[in-house]
Amino acid sequence: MKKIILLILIISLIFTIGCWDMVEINQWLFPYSIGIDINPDEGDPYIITISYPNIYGIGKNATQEDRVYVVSTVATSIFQGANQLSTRLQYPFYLKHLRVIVLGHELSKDGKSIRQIIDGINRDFVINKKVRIVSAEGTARDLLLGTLDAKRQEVIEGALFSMLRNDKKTSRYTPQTLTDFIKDTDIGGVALMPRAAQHGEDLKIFGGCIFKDYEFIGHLGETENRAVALMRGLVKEDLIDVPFEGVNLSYSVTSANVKRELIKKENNLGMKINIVIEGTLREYIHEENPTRREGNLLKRMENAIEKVFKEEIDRTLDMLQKKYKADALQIGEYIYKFHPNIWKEVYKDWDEVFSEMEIDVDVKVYIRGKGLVE
Amino acid sequence: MAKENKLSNKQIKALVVSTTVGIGILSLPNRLAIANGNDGWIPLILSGLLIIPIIMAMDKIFQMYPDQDFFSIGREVLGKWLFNIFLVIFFIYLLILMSNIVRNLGELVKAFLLVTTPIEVLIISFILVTSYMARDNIQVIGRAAHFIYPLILGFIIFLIVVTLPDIDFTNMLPVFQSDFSNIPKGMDIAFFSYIGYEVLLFAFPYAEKKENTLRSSLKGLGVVILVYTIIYVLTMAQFGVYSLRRQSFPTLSIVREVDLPGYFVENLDGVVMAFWVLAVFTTMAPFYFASGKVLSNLFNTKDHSLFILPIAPIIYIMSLIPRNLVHLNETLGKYTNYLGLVTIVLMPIIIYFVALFKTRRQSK
Repeated sequence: MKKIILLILIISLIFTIGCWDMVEINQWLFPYSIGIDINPDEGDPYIITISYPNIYGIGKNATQEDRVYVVSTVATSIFQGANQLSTRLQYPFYLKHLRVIVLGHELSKDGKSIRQIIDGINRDFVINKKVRIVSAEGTARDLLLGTLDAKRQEVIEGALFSMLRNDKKTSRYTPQTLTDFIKDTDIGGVALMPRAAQHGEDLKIFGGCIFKDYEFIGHLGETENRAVALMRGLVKEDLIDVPFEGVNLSYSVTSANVKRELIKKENNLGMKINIVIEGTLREYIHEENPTRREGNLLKRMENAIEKVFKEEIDRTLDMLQKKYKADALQIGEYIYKFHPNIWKEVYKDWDEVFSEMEIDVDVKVYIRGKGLVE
Repeated sequence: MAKENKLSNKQIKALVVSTTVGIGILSLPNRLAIANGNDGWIPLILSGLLIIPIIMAMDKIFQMYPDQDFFSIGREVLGKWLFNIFLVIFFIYLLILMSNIVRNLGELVKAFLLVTTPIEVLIISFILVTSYMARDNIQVIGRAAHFIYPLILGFIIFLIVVTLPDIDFTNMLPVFQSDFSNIPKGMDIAFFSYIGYEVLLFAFPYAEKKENTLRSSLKGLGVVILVYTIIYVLTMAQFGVYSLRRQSFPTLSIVREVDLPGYFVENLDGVVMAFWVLAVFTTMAPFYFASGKVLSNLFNTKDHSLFILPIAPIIYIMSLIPRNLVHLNETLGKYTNYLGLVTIVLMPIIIYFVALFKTRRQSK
């Protein structure tokens, strides 16, 4: 018994290493989002905007009104910006709890700057590498200032971050972390990042930006992003509206499974993607005979839903292959992993190969449940 | 010898594990990924297997000369002068190795935990703590190792548990695609991550049940190979080969990737550093002890603890010579490898073959 107590005591020592630098926790500022923009005027290249919670404005005995502060400065890098701002604020920043990085639209078009910024964040000892990245429609500064006005935001965690948590029940945008962004770029050269904009009183995150070699090349809309997510097998839950014999059918996806297969032809590569979607009906009104049980009816509904998905996917594929020549589906990664010999032949001009590729997508929709009423 | 002065076989196994697992574990996957890409686990396992014959040779030496310690055997087999030269090289090797360890420890603790603490303070305090343990006998070190061994295993299990939800094992693919002529290069890196088994030279004579010692020390080696392979697989599956090549300390970075729902566990690098400092402590202490032993034998004194404290300033000064971590790996790291090859690979094998030759001739 004594031994066990001793052991517990000694092990507990490991967890008591908390104090660094003799600085009280309320003497640090913990930013949760940082925005970066190109500086249109003279001077240093970027505008760094930092938003952080005001700990005196939170809690029962709040002494100050503002709950979140947003400050910005002109600097050469995030770290330089944080450093410069500490001359204007009472306490220094500590970036360990940084959650979201917002890139301004103008900045996104500058591949070199993006690469530099991402390298800096990745190299830093303190910043958590799971930090989420989004691309603002306008400037990052406006977006962050917009979070101040957003009515229904959670104060401490930050509106942006809580929207970007992975477990969101939609595939209209796909959250992207820093490491995944780099990882996606590594092999296929293309990565996605959600877009964020102000939408009335609220913030809105939607769609995606296509980055090729860290450079912004085009937008994906909400439905296109869903199509990409479907083909990558990232969809967990979603809701889709389908016109069916004059009425609106609301179908909610509960699971989607993807199987990919490479088809090698003589001088062209082909890809077969099988998607199996399962879900339930949410809302349908069948005018003529509302309580008729009919296997055929469900079958027809399934076909209608399949058609909608198929159209979405075809439109997206066309856009990715012909317009952008960007492999956002990570087919390159698939070939690299499972067919390394083929990858060795094609990786040099992968963009061209991808745009010439025959991608055959097969969607199967099953209606597994139809709610409580007939 | 009284019974309490013996090392149990469990302690020997723990000693092998905790001495070997140490400084390199943070950066090993990265260096292997640079050399061998996705197939870094091949040199890792191969070079682990290469250690087995060396450990067997060590065991044979002590079987041929029972009830003698490493120094008297060496002297008898190789002659006084030759063996003393080996001992001097051994001592220099230990010194460089230790300064390499403390500098690495200092740099990383400073970077990740104690940002404003001067590195000199970190190094001095670490040397002093280890010197306390190094003044004792191998039995005490064995007991300490036995105590820290489950913590190392616990750390690995902890690492698996926190990373598993996020991991994508297809990142391990494609296998067997890298250039196989690079495997010796990878083995060069991997082999020296197994430095530390030479502590058996000091531990074997004090083993409790000699007939099982070989088996338990090989078991210890097996645990080390397993630990390294698990860490390699985890980091590779988490990062993929391209990212892994960029992460200087993937074992630390991997816990920064942890993002479990409810995020009460996040930013776990402090915990990992704590485990790692413990692991480095049990690596450093046996080496420190060994260097004291070697000196006391060179100068023919009975007690090795006399030499422990005078060595401390030498380690301290040597550890501060390199300018930064890159320079450190280029200088001290390289010398450690070269000298290590002489002392922990060649020396046991030479002693073994000469001893074999001599005993055969005697029996004729």
